[in-house]
Amino acid sequence: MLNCKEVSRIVASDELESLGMLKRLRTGFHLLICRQCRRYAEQLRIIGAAARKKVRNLIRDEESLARLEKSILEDAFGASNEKR
Amino acid sequence: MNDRVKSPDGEETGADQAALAARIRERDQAAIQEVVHKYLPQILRAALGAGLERPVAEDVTQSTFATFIESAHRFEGRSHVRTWVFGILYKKIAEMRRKLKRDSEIDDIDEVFEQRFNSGGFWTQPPQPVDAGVFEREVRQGIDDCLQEVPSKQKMAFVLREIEEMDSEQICNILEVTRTNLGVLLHRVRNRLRECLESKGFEGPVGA
Repeated sequence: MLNCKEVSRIVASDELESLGMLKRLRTGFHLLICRQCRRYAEQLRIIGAAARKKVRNLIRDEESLARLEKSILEDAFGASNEKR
Repeated sequence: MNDRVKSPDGEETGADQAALAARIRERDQAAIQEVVHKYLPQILRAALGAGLERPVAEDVTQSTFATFIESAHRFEGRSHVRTWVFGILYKKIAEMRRKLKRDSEIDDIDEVFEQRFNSGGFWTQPPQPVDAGVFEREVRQGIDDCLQEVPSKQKMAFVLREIEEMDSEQICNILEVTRTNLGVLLHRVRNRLRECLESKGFEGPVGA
């Protein structure tokens, strides 16, 4: 039987993908019966998902991307070349 | 427009890649332009995801590509262009942080994690229950602040996994770590963020 600390460590390290079948089943079973570990796993999931959503919204700004791109290329190749 | 942002994680074939690598090495302007256009949104997004403020994130993005272009002649094409560019970004962020207040080798987050369990490995201080919606809002508000305290390598592991959604192999290549090492980095950063967010205290309705 896996304990909570082991299960939390597996979850937080993304180790599930590389575990053998038996250990994966044991981890899944533990999560099924342990509300505290489930809550822990769920909170980690939300942290990732919220961070992703937040940043995706931040770069929906084509204008500043274009400006940045132009300035990078101008620095590298000079302004005259930019319109090739 | 949207595929610029989402950009497939390098679907090119090996031959395409080799040809692109050769053009990059020759500093072919069109090839370099292509790389900048394709990866700029991802690099900016990753820099923002690392908790940098917008102007700083833009500076870092610009200097990442400047370095990429300067060192283009050394690109051997053994790794994917994306690995190369993200590797530069990681080094820039680490360098910046070293200048500000150096990454400490001592990491007390492992200790904090241990203390939440008894000797049998069962929770003694379990995560506090919080409504998912409330927690999500809390994360959006607090995460940049919480990221400030996180060492660069852990921060990048988090960004590449959660924001760029890369697989372990790609992340290991970019950060030059083993899979086991990556596990430790992810474990530390996630616990650090969770502890930090929890310590800010949740408000609102509490659900199990």
